[in-house]
Amino acid sequence: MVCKFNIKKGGLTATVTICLTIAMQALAAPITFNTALPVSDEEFIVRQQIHYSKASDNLGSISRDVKVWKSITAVGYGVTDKFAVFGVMPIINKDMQIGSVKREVSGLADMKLFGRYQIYRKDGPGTTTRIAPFLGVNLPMGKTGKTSDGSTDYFGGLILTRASTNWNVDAQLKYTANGKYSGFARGNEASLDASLQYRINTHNANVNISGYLFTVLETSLVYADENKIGSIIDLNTGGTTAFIAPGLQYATKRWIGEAAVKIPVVKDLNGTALQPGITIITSIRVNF
Amino acid sequence: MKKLLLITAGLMLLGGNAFAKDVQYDLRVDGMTCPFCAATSEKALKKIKGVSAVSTDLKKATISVCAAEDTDMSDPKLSKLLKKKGFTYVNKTKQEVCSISAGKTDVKKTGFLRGFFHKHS
Repeated sequence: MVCKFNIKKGGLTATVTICLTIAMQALAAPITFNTALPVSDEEFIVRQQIHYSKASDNLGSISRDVKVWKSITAVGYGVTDKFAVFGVMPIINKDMQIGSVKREVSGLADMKLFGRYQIYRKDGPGTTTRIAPFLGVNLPMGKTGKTSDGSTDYFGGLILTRASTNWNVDAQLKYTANGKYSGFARGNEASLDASLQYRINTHNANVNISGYLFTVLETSLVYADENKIGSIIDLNTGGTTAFIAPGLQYATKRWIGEAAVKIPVVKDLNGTALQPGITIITSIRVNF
Repeated sequence: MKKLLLITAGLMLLGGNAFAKDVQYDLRVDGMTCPFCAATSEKALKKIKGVSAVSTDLKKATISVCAAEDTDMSDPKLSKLLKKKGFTYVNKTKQEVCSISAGKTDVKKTGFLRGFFHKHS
């Protein structure tokens, strides 16, 4: 998952794009991106996440403060043993204050639909390696200018997962080609995400009695192009950010509970773009 | 007379099923790394008619299945079933006595607190 704070020209609108991508089956899975969520053939998975993020800085004498609550519901279905489809529906509440100007927007944000096809799988006793590309579309379901920029965006990428009973590594390479709506075109975005999950309660292998407790460390590197308004490039948008996200994950046979704190470590953004802050993520998922 | 024969045959069949002996199959299944994997595989195996109990040992990469002796547990069937669920069936061994209990497969018993406070041997 990639979080991007993007202050449009005029500084009155902040958008937060959460990219949820979901894929592989039968593995633990990262917290901050979902390309390795488990879903088997003819089964459903539902993941409910709550995100809270806060970003603030000072632009000369003007303070900027943005708080975002986000509820993200992701549903996946295994069409075959290799192909799965997913839908992600976010509902957001943004509370912004720039100087003395306050603004609050809330409601349904843009919906993501995507599919993933597994092209490589090698299994061993208690281990597996899987590679799967994914392709999706971001539909402008939110209110344009409030919870959506109105454009239809396309994204695709590749997921690599290497897992054992004691640790998992997931990596995601993703590119988003953002569309244009009413003269505004958000910059395209490339990201590289990685997740290491290390099991700490290894003393008990019987999954019928206890679940697996993982410590999690995730990283994310995001590059975004500048936005365009008509043919004019907004120099106060785009740039490079990197995050680390330590977390915990408790996995049982039917549900997984998890939490992470996403901390920005590189904030190389252009011009006066708002610097990203910390995001707290809690999540529960169930398969059935 | 015909009716009597049919009823007798029916009763014999029912009786035969009721006393069918359970045997245990230990399936070696690769690619299972997490509790979700165990749940998915067990759910699929439980749908096979004649299966009475299923238990997974992730460390040994085995799923133990208790089933009536006449249950269809052929290699092609198991291979297809587990491939659909995203895993690789390798082989199986058969034991004449079923040593797992139905309680072991109860996924509802897997819980957060139980995971922390269970006494491990």
